[in-house]
Amino acid sequence: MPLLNKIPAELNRLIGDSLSVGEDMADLLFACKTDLAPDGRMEDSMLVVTRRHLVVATRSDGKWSLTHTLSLADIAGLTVEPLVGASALMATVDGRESRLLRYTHAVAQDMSDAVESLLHLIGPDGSPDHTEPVAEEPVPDWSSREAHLRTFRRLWSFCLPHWRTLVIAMLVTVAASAIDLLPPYLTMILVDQVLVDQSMFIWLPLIVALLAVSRIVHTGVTIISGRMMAVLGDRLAYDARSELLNVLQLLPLKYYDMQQTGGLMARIARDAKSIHYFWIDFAPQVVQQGLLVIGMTAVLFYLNWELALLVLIPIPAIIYASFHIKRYLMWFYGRSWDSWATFFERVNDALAGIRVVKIFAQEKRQSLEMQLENEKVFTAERNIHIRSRTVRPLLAFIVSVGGLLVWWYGGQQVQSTEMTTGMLMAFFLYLAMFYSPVQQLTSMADWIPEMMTAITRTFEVIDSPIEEYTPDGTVDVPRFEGRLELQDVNFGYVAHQPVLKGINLHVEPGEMIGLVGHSGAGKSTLIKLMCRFYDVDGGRIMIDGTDVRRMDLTQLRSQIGYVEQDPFLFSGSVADNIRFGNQDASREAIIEAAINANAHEFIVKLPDGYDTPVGERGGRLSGGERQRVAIARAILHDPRILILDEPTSALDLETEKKIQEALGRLMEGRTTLAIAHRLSTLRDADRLLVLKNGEPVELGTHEELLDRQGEYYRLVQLHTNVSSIVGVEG
Amino acid sequence: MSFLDPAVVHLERRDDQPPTLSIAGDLFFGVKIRQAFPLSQESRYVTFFDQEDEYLGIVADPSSCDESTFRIIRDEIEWRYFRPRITRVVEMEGRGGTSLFSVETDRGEVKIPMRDLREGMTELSPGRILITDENGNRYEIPDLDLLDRRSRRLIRRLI
Ligand SMILES: Nc1ncnc2c1ncn2[C@@H]1O[C@H](COP(=O)(O)OP(=O)(O)O)[C@@H](O)[C@H]1O
Ligand SMILES: [Mg+2]
Repeated sequence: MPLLNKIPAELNRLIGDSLSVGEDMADLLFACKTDLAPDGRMEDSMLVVTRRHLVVATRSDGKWSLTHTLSLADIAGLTVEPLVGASALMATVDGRESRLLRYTHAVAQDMSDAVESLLHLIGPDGSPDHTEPVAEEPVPDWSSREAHLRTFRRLWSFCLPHWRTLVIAMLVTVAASAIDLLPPYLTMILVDQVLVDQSMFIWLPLIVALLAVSRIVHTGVTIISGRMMAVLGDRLAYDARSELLNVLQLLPLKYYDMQQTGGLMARIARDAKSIHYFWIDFAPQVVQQGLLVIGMTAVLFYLNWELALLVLIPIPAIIYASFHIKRYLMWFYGRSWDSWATFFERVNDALAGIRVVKIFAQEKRQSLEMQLENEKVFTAERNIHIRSRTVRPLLAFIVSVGGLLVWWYGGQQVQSTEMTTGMLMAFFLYLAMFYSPVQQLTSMADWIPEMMTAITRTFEVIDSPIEEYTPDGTVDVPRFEGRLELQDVNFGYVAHQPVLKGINLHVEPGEMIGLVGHSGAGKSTLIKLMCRFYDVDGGRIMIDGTDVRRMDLTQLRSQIGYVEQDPFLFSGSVADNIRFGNQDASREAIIEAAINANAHEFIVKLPDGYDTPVGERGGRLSGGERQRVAIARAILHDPRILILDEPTSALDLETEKKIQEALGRLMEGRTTLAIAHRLSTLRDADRLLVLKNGEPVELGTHEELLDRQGEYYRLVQLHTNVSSIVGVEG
Repeated sequence: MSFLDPAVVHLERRDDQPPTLSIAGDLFFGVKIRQAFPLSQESRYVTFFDQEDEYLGIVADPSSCDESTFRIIRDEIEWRYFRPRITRVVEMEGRGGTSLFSVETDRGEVKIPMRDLREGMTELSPGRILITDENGNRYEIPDLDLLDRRSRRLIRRLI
């Protein structure tokens, strides 16, 4: 029994006064505190139940008052009505329902306990359902290195519109490099001339000031160039992403057959970012460090050419090594990409199919398999890191050899006074600066391959041929009558593997054709050809006497409606999905379409009505509901030719009937090609085309074909058997 | 055709009982009134259901019904859709995974418990925010720009 919340003394007295003679507070059974006043304010309220009465009280401005006092004997029923954001307790008295109180979800649990207890004193009620989401993850693929030069050219063309910014940023970078050369030189003057000569001491502050100024200017210049390049990099990455996004919508469906969606996502997110890295980190570094190296080489030779030669000795070794390391490491990077790809694919699969995994009790095996992929990733990553961490210290060692040579030779020259101490110091300062850019350039070598691959992949997508939207000699067909002609149509997804062979068919405007055949017979393929997702290999498809290949794709598809077997809904509201094909449809039109699709009723019963988010892929709606939203979407689209892939799965009879009705309305007055599974659709079709292994074997009405006792007859027999088992019939 | 003519739709209500609807003379007791677009178009498109929750019809523009009908429609909607409007955010405290928002609303002050701040906040349209707390209660900020600076800052951090 629930919650005897404390009853305030004032309320206690009020209730006592209102109760009938012979009953007092000792008869109190329970009370439940709730949170809404009758006017909807969030105020304490209370449901109090005594042996004979039900009392509802509420507080306003700190004073309690009773809103309802009912005798339990008078209450014929008690129900909880779910509202939106709250619930209401309803009581039936004298055959009429009356509202007792409202409360929010915060006290829903307490209240449902209280109502249950109350029902024991008086009768019962039901509840709702829903759910399920899906996940998506990246999968990359690895491409060749040959295209790198082309990639560089493309990179360049990308930043061409921004060349002004680029030139300024580069100039600033050059200035920064030049300023870098100054401090060691000043140090030399300081040591050799100012510090050794009392009379020169007045120069000390000046030189220190110069050193300070050069540092300050250098800092300023670095900030400016850094910011300019960063903004430029972001801009370019943005440009690349927008191009990718545009292209992704325009690529032919064929492209998606070969690619995994996850891989494309990875490209957009990650690869376009590489363009940013190229311009922010890579290019400025190369320019600045390169200039530094050149400048310093010049200064070193100017100061002492013999010593300068010694400094250069390790350079060929460094370059040689870095070059080879680059190639060597690249192979390992490829392996790493591949292992990540399979890893993501595997995990993605396991998560998307988690229900199947659990039903078949395969969690352990799945974990093990994923663990295996994890190990492969580990090995691949380890291979890279072991190698790159070995290579770098080795390079550092080669570099240090230069320092030893300077000590040895320069030291001798200072001893024999051929060189001043200041100059040797300057040499060391330069040396410290000299190898670091060389090394940096080298270490960049190990991410050149990674970056270039990513950038190349980005361009690969951008450069993929997109669909030809307006072919040469386009014939304008603004509104179809709906006459279809298939003449000797041949098609295969892969060359020399025909899926459709010699299809001939004439369809009159408004006629409905049912496509029948075993799974894999080519029904869906024929439909895809109609929408021109693919082009025929032989023969032709004509609408109103015009070859579909000579039509504007947008014009063609905007007049074809397609209701898929398992319709795809976009995350967004129900209304968004219905208006998908007509963005400017009015709310009235949306409602009208939904009513015709038998969807309106269930939609307005959703707490948020047409504003209810359908979830990813429409996952929050049931299969039958998704279907009807898709039909509403097609009705609003008002196509001239309708293509219908009937769902195979049996829904409950009621839903089945509603969908059938909705489809009937949708097909009215339109040429329809339907992949039919239901007997009723087959009977209603004007003619049926029976496909077998991609070949047309029979054409005629339901009755004609049944009389023939051929392929169709056998299919129907099979079908009716199945239907009678699952209890679905037309 | 699909929409009811507002001229033939009349509502009546007695005490605490659900209203009675007459459509062109047909009477329906204990009707429920629901909005078709409760979030994006509150003032239009109301639908009627009978006691058994069977659909009766839809009126596109309830304001063209007679005055008392229109008032009842408004009251009924007010009664069914409980979504306090937040007028001020007083403070926000984190307590081991759950955050507590103290806010003032047009229905009084309340502390909103939220487990996942980002998940629970949806921007319906620019500046209009729907907050769903861990109990499933919902609150609305009709226009973020109309809140005071401090409240705005507290909210902005989360969306
Ligand atoms: N995208 C595709 N790429 C390659 N082969 C495909 C593709 N889609 C379907 N196929 C093959 O084409 C044949 C016909 O398939 P489909 O038209 O889907 O048959 P139905 O819809 O009649 O069941 C099948 O053998 C199928 O494996
Ligand atoms: Mg198929």
